[in-house]
Formats: sequence, structure tokens, C-alpha cells
Amino acid sequence: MEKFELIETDVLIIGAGGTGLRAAIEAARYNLDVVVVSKELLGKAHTTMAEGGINAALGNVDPEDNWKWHFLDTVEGGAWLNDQDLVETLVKEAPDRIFDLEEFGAVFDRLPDGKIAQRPFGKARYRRTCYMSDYTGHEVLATLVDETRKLGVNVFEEIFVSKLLTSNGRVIGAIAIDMKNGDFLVFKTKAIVLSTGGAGRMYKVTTNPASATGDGKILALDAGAEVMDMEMFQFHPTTMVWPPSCRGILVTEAVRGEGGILLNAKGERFMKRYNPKLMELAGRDAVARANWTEIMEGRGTEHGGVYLSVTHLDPELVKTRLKTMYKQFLLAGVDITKEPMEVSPGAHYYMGGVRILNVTTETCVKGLFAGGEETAGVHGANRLGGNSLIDTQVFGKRAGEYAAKFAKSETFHPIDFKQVEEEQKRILSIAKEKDDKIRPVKIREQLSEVMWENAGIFRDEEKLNKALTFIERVKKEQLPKLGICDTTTLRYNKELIEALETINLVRTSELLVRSALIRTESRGAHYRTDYPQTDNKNWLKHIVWRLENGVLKYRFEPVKITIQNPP
Amino acid sequence: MKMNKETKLKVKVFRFNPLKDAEPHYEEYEVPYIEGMRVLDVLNYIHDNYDGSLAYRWECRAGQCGSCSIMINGKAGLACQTSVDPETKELIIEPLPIFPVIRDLVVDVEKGYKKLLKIRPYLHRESVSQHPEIIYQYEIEDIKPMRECIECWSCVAMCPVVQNAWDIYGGPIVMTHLAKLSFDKRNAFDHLLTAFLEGLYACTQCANCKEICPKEIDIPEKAVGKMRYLAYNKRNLVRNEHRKIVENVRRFYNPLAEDNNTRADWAKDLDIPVAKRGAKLLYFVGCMASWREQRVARATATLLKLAGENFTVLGPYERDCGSVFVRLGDMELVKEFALYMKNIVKNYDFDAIVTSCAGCFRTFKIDYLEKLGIDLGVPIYHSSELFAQHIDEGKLTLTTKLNISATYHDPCHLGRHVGVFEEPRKIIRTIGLKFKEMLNERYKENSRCCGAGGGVRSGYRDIARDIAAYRVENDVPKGAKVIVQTCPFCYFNFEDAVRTNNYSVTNIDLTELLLVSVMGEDAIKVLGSDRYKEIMSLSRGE
Repeated sequence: MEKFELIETDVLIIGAGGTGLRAAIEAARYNLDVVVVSKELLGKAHTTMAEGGINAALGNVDPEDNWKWHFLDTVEGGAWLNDQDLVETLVKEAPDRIFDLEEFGAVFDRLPDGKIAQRPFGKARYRRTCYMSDYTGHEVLATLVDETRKLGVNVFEEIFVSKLLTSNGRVIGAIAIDMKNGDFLVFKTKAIVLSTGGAGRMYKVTTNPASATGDGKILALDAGAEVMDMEMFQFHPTTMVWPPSCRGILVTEAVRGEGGILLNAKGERFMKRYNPKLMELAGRDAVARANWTEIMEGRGTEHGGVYLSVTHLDPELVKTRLKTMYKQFLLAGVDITKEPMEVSPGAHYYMGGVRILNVTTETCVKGLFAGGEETAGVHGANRLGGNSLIDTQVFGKRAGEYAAKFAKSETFHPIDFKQVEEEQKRILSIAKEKDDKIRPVKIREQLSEVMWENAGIFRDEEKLNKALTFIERVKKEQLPKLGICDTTTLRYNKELIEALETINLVRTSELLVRSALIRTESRGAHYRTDYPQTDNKNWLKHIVWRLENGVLKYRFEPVKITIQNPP
Repeated sequence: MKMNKETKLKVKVFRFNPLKDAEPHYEEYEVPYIEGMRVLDVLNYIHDNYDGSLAYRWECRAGQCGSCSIMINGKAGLACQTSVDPETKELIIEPLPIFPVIRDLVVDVEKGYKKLLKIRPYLHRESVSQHPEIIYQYEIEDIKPMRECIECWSCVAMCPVVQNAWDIYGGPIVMTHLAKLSFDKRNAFDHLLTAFLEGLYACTQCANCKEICPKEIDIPEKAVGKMRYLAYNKRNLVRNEHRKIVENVRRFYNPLAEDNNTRADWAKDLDIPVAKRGAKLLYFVGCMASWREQRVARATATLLKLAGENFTVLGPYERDCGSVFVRLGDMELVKEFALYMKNIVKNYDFDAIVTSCAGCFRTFKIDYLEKLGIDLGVPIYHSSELFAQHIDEGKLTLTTKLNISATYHDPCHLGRHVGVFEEPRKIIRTIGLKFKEMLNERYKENSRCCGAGGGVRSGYRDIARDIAAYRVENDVPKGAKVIVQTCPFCYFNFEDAVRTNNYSVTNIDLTELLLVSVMGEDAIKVLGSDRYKEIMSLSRGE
């Protein structure tokens, strides 16, 4: 066995985004040892890139708003695939989580009466989205970082967790690599919170950062947990198309919330053909499909996008409320107060993920909890803008709370060092000198292209089968040859981590494609051109996956409908 | 602009694995340029196509996470937000200085975290508050920019004070966090006192941090400046050294505690107009040139005379520009001095003002206007601007070519803050100097501060001197015999560093060189024969 460092902690939180840090803050209240491990440096997680805002039915601008409307908007937006017990908790607890953030020091933009300002967002009946200019995610994450520092929570940075350790159906620890020096770490723990976020890097065009590689979903699956709704991947309607370097960088929904309009190359405000009632503020799924259709049918712009224009708005408003956008485009040579932006859809958010059994965020593996983009069920088949940040807070808090309570009542279990040894072997076999090695970047380039072309906004059986064939071939022929350039040292060996991430991406892609093939209907973000109808009679159910002796098996699980029946 | 597939970039990348390599080295790569390329694309290209072992950090590629900060041609910045100029001869990519290298471009920022945690960078509430909390937008306007910090550490990497005295000064990032908390009405902890103890008055306000901050946070003015204002005016948190300077200016109208009646003593033998009515141009000499670096005043006044300017100095009627109060935050006193200046300009009916000192220049041009709303109503020139114009117009004729290997120090107050870069260089070229820019790309906007600004020279003399010494040792090109100066304040501080450390380089003000170039041997009566001989022997390469 290779050397490793053993670290004991009551609660281990994997991932340091909005969910992970909120969980840590909560768990720290229980007088326990809490360790957060982060793949990036503290404060660099994807949460910081959330722009437009965070939803809570405070009713500050529209007094008619309350949790019931927020609930209805969320399940309607989610095309009724949401588990309603989760949604109910989300919307009812949202205001308190906003107040928590303020308590920790967050600053939101205000109304003249001194209350938190709220802006309109896609598919929301009322103005419900709280914001700090257009860098709300940064504000939320920076605040949580402050609070973690205040509480003295241990955060281990640049740690890649590669496997959860289990014993008799419960998690008892985790194996990780400390990227800084290449050392192995073994965590011995009573409870684990998974909060590693999404997997946008499956796709060529994505708003997601380098680290969004589906790690947690695969960790959970391997530990015996279930994942579901894996076909549900949201494409954000508006991401940058030019220059090539900026392809996929998010253009916030707040642009449309503040009054931005979409135009095709002919100058036509085409949303009136797709959704005359909600226009640009229709659901993200609908707007993404509209944009993509315009582009595919030849009404796109020079660089293959559609126009998003705010030139009719007050330039001062644009520069303050859409500050990030203004600067982001200026750097690319476009003054958005004078010229329209060119945008097109990009992979943005994974609605699918780890199945949590109920609002305690527990999974079917004892001691394993999960929250945020890691999980499925909250957002159904399509997430509303502004609901992700609040998800991290509501379910981050809950994950922390219930993981802590679980840890309080449990003892440590002895680690099975054979599991450690096996995992070390798996990792070191990648870092071995190989003549016919295939570098992770090569696999990723092809995978992301194939996924974008065949499992993207519009899907059909043929394309999905093509993707599946490709994935199966990669698994069989390429992954065994996965290798890296520098086999002499593991010290900050970025490529070794990339290799492990690539395996996660391939496996996540497989789950996505297989699920998309099974779901022979269109719902929310999942659009099958060969099955364009939504079929509430047969398909109000989740496709749930688990591993049985190393083989993927699926079953169906009915959607939990507790409050409102679909029309 | 069309895509140019032919363009290849030459990229030099710092490589170092402390476990294996005894020394860092640079590796060269050729990378095809594509339109709109960012430095991060260059690194990704190298990683994907040449060498997967290259270690560097990146995450969001949208400038929002701060992971990818590195040194790009001597300037700290985010790789993802730095566009590549296809015309650039060579792209040099290095890790942030100050921090130990983990591998290649990846540094260990642990030391920075420690500094940050020491100040308790979080909100301390007295009690749990009532919700919804009523906070007005105007109450968060000062905090908002501070809260934008993404902890990329670029500011720390560029800060001249951190380079030399991180133990005394927490650094720009620490000031940003302290400001965000000091300005927050909800906060119960005395972060202003912490700021005072963390070297609030040790910032030179050189604005190098602001220059490179990806979030464009105005740390020197909006964090340090505002906190100084609060500390000085509301809390009486001032260093004794500064208290003394303030007292000096109050009593003597100059910070040097000199008898203000002797302000024009340097001009006695030169027939320079003092407080002359009817003059159109005011030569504002400033304290350093009046008493400490009198050759600058003598050369400048003589050149103005030669150029035929109808000018005057104010002599005993010249009072401090108020710069020291601006830097300390005593806005009431600055106002007195600003109003006095305004009155003088009006009474004498001047058409323009010329200064020797970059500090006076900035104070008149920016601070009076932006901080007090007082407009002197006439154009304000630095002497280099005016003399460059004189040379152009043929009002100054150069007779003697000076053949000296020299470099030039851009004063922060003249260069980065106001944008005067070309005029001094134009004069340098015209008088024939063999000119080389400072090394490490530390010139123009990226110039490294001399260390004297922001009250540091008066408050922490040793730090100021060390910073100047650092500049001399690191940035002055080999073979450069002279550092050309355009600010007597920088000059004075550099001179201290050179003398203390016995450096072989000589500081000479641009006006001295120009004077010799115009007057030849006749410059002796202005500069003295020793200085003249010194310049001429440098010119002969001795």
C-alpha cells in the first residue's frame, strides 16, 4: 500500500460552493469536527459565477407574492417533474435563508424603503429575485467564505476526492488526493455531505467552470446511492459566441429581466412566434429552443448566434445593474449600451443527480447526504433562474444539519484498508508510463463534441444511439489507455486529476444518454424531436439508476405530488 | 479584423518543480494566434498540445473566480481576462511573486490567508438583528466595490510595500477587506483600529494595485483613502511622525519646518522674478525643490527664463500644496490651502501653473477637483510637459548632446495617476541620452513606486528607502549610469537609497540634464561646477 495521511472528522463535506459552505456553517453549530474539502481554492467554486440573483418570495416589490406562487412557478417551470415535498421546503424556507445570508454580512441591492430589491426573472409571476448587481453568486459565496472563516471551519483546498469508503451500506470515509503535493489522504468520518455541483464539462459549449465534471454523482453511485433525472440538463438560452475564447460564457438572465430583447439576424423579435405571452421571459428551456431554432434555420448572426439587445435601456442602468455583462462584452470589443450582444445557448445546469429521499437530504446510503446541483428532484425538468442559489442555501443548511445530527448519534467505523489499496492502485495505474497512452484532453474533446451534437438541446433516438455507441467505445477502448504526460511526480499533477475527472465525465454522459433514450417524451429541458409531446399519463416518473455488482440498473420512481396536481 | 491563422506567438513560460529542479527555468513555445485570444487560451494550448505537465490554475474563464492570476509580461492579472496582442514580440508568463511556487505557475497563497485571517475579515454583529433589515442603498454604496474582491492576490503581487515590508503593511487585499467592514454600519468590531495597526498609513497610494485589479477596485482612494479620512478625522488615529508633519505645515506652511520666508532663497543669485505682478505663468516650486533639491528649482526657473516665459515664483507667498493633508485625510486643512491657491491664481490673474513636483501636480489637477470640488480654473502643467512643448516650438535650443546611458523613473503621481508618460521620454531622447526602459516591464503604467508617496516617506522613512533600493536593484538596467527623475520627492528618496547602499547609479533631474544640454558650460552658474562636471564626465562615459 502507498503512504497516506489519515484524517478523522465527524462530518466531511465534499465541495466548497454555496451548498458545501452553508452545510459546513450549519454543521459547525453542533460542536463537531467539520472538514470541508474543495477541489479549487476557497471561494473559487462555481457558485461565484451565478449572476442574476436568488429567489425568495419576500413580497418586497410585489406584495401579492408568497411561497405558494413561488411553489407554483417552480413546479410549472420544472414541467411537473419536481418532487413537491422538496419544492415546498425550498420555497417556504427561502426567505429565512436570505436573512441568514444578511446575518452573515451579505449585501443585497435595496429598494427606496430600505428593503431588499427584487427583479423579474423568467417564468416568475412576480418580481422575486433578490440581487447584488449581476454578481449575486459572488456576493453569496464571498459571504459564506467569510462566515466559514469566522467559525474556523477547516477547509482543505485543492483536494480531489476519488472514492467514498463504505461498510455495510453506510459511508465511513473517503479517499482523496492532495493535489498540491500528490499525497493520498484518507478521511475517516461519520457522515458525508456531497456538494460537488454539476457536470457541464460534458458539453463543448458550457457556462460551467473547469471543475464541473460530475464527480459527486459518480462518487454517490459508486457508494451505492441512486441518481435520477439524469437526462435533464438545462441549456441556458444566452451565452457568448464570440470571440471563440469566450464561447459559452454566461450572459445572465438578468439582461432579459431588466428588459433586454432577443432579435434574429433579420431584426425580428422572434419570441413573439414562440411565446407571445411571456416573450423573452419564458422558461429557459423554451427560450433556448427558440434561439437554437432561429440559428439552425438560418436566421442567426454572423458568428452563429442571435442578438440580445439592451441598447434601448438607460446606459447608466446597464452599467450598474448589469455591470459584469457590460465589462465582459467590453473586453470582447462590444459596448452593449450601443450594440447588441451575440448569444446562443450553452449547457448550464444539471437538474439530474443524486436522489435524496426526503427533505433531510439523506440518500439511500446511511450517513450520506447531498444538496444543491449535486441532487435531483428540486427543479424537475427545468430550473428557474434564481432558484439554484436559493437551493444551495435551503438544502445546504439542511444537509449540514442532518449530517451533523447523524454524526452525533454515530461512532466511527474501522476503515477497510483493502478498499484504500485498490483505489490507490486504480489511480497509480493511470500515472504509469505507457507507450500507447491516450491523454484525457483527447477524450474530452471528442466527448464534449459528441454530446453537444447528439445529446444537446434537440435529441432523437438516432442521435442518442450515436452518442451511446461512442461512449461505449471510449469506455472499452480508450479509458483503459488513459495516461498522462508526467509520470515522474504527482506534485500538482493537474493532468492526473483531469484523467480522473474524465472518467467521471464519461460515466455521467453515459447516464445522461441512457436516460434520454428511455424517456420517450419531451419534458422541460429534455426535448425529443421524435417524441415532441409531453406525456403526463405515462411519464410523471423519474428514471432512477443504481449500480448492482458494477452494472447500471434502472427503475422508475413516481414523482412526489403532495400539493398540486398537473393540469 | 479578420482571423489571421499565420500569426504565431512566441511564449516563454516559467517552469519549476521544487521537488525535482534545483533552479527554475523558462521554456519556449510557439502558439498559433486566434482572434480574441486570451492568455488562458495560450496556456490551455500549451497544456493540450505540448505538455500536459504544465501546472496552472483556472476555473471560470470569465474573470469571476480569481483562480488564474499570474504575471503576464511583468504585470499581475487574470489569464482569462488578459487579451493577447498578436503584435507582441514575446509573451512572458510567470507565477505571482511574493508567494512560494508549488509548481510552475501555481503558488502557495497560505501566507496571504494568514494575513487575511489575522484581521478577522468578517462581519461582527452585536446581536441577532430583526428581519427584514432596513438598509438604504446609499449606506452600501461604499461597501459594494470592496465586496467585489475575488481574492486573486494580484494586488499583493504588485504592491511595493508588500515586497519590502509585508510585516508592517497587510497589503491591498487586507485594506479592501478592512474597508468593507469599516464602512459597514452593521459591524460592531473596530476594524478601523485594526486597519491602523495593519499599516493604514504605510500604503504609498501608488495605485499599482488599482491599475491591475480585475474588479477595478480603487483601493488607494476608496479603501485606504477613505479609511484614513475616518481614522484621522473621527478617531484621531494618526502616527506621531505624521502629527508632526501636520503641525509643521500649520505653523510654517511647509512640512519641512523651514522658515517660509526663505522659500525663494535658492533664486537669490539668478535674477528670478518673485511674486511679480503681471506674470502669466506661475512656477509653483514646491517644498522639496525649494529647500532640499534646489538644483531642480534653479534649473527649472532658468529654463523658463530661457524659453521666454513671463513667469514668477511666489517666494514667501507660496504655501504648501496640501498634498500631505490629502494623503492623511485632513480635508479641512487641504481646503484652506486649496482656497488660498485659488485666491492667488485669481489675484495675480495667472494663465497657467507649472510644477516641478509630481505630487503638487496631482494635487492641483486631481485632488482639489475630485475631493473638494475646487477648480483652480487654469491649466496645470508639469515642467516636463512645458519643456517638451518649448523644444517643439523652438523656444529652447539644444547645443550639447549628452551621451549618457540612462533609465527613467515614472513618478506615480505624474504617470499612472495623470497619464504623463511621453513628454519626459521625448526630452530624454532629444537631449541624446542612451535610453533604456526600466527592467521587468516596470515602466509607464506599470512603473514601480519609489516608496515615498502616500505619507510613507514621512511616516516610515526606512520602508520608503528600502522600496527605492529594491527598485534600483531590480529594475535599473545593467549599464544604466543615471536614473532620470522628474519629481524632486522621488529624487530625494532615491538619493537616500543610493547613498545608504553605495549604489553606483546617479540620480539626476531631467531639468538639470536639459539645462546642460541647452546652456552647455554656462550651466555651471546654475548647477555649480561639481554637478556640471559630474554630468559631463558621465557623458564622456567615465
